[in-house]
Amino acid sequence: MITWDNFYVFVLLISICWGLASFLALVKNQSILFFRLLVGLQLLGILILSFFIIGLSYRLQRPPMQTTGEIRLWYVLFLSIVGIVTYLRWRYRWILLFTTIMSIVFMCLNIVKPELHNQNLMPALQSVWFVPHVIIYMFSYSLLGCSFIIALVGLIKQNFSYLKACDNIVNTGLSLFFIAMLIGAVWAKEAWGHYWTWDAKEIWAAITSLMYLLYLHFRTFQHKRHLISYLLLIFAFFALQMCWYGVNYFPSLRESLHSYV
Amino acid sequence: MIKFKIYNKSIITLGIGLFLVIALSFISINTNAFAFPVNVFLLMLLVYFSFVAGRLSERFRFFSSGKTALLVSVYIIVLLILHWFFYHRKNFSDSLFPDSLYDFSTSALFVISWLFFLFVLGAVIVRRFTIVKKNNVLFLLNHVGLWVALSAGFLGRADLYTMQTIVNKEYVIFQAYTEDNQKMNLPFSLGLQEIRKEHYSSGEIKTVEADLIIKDRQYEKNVSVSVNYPYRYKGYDVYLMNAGVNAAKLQIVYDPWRYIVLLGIAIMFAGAIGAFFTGFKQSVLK
Repeated sequence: MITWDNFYVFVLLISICWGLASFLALVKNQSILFFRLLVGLQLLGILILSFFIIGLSYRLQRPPMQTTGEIRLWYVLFLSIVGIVTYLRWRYRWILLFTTIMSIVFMCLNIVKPELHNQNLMPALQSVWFVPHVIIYMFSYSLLGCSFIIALVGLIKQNFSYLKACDNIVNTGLSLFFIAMLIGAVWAKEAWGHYWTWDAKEIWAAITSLMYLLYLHFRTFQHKRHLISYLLLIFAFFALQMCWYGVNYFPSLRESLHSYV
Repeated sequence: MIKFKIYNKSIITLGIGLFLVIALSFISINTNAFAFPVNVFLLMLLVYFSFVAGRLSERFRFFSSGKTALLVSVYIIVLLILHWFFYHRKNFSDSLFPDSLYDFSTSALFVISWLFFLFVLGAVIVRRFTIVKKNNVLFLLNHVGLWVALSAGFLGRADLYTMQTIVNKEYVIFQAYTEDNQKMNLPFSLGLQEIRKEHYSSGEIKTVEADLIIKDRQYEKNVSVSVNYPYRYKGYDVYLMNAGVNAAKLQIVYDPWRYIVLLGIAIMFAGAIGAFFTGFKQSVLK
């Protein structure tokens, strides 16, 4: 039976797969065998995590998207998918290492914070909008997280050629962010009577989307100022963290309509 | 000497700017003053000035430029961070802050800034609207959608009423109370018939549903409302907020602008899907 109690076994297996894949990706002048092995290992890790999510859904009798711990699972899943897709598309050798470190940190948080698990789905979350809202947000977060890693590495290495990849990833991530946000607005109208209520979570969602929009517009109008572009991406990522879970640590969340997140 | 003068000028400009920001933050605007037809008039003014800045006057073209768009975006981000900061108002002593900071979105600073943001966005749209190109479609979808949703949401809120009431099995109600405790008459009556609840094995609530009877001179119907499933009648949406054994708390929302905001959302949705499939260079234009 798949429960949070045996999650650590899955984390161990996934970490081995992704750790080896990241290590192989770092090797210069890879042979075809190495390349296939690392892709296979990354996919195996993704499959193991998917298996855990499906098993947990079966155990909970609902989609695991309610608690912070459950939502982290989706983030890790999408981050690993985005990591391998970015690697296959642009061949950045370090990208898998960073997505793996980030994923392992998030999975370990789920192990050390067991009080976050096994809550029942409250009536407010029983809506057709719930699954697309959360899944699309998580996919968007993982893309934007990936752009942060690329920006950070680009900034440290002072290599501005990575910005092209950032542009594409942010464009895709932000499109998804907007889709999820608009779905949320329509859902909010059905649930609370207002599309937008300016609560803490929504204010930070607006700030985050504006910061990424600012990045894309800055790249359009000031496309030669690379350093500022990287810095914008890094600040935007901090805004995203604030939007996702940062607001939970401020007393204002008690007044927020999103207080169950 | 010249440098000193420029320095002095900058300090004075900054000082005046800061004073204006603080002064405008402390002034609260009664958003009810924007109720129909004032909001429609304001909307028309916005459109007119957007046309002037975006198309008609060379002198005001600055407002629809890329640089202005960047500056206004930064300004709105700072404004929203301020908004979030004042969201914590309940943690401060009441005497410290004026009314405008209890809901920052009603402060003069926020209202004026938001209108200015809509004006710049409108000017940018107008400037691009006349250039018919294939790759303009996404730009227009994203920007027009945002403008429609934000302007209708912002100016339409003066016509929006959020009321609450409690119904029980004993008697029917014809009135509800707004957020500022004003009694409003409803164009129908509401009565409670039954409350149904389901629980998880742990005792937590799984579902809650209230059967209501809704009635006016021509109409009588038994309806069910539950969380996420409101009932709409005569432009009023009836939401279930909470339910006890014999009584239910309802929220009734009257929002005549809801479909205009929804239209803006739908346009933006199409734009976001388009941007997802076409990539950066096509969706954000030079």
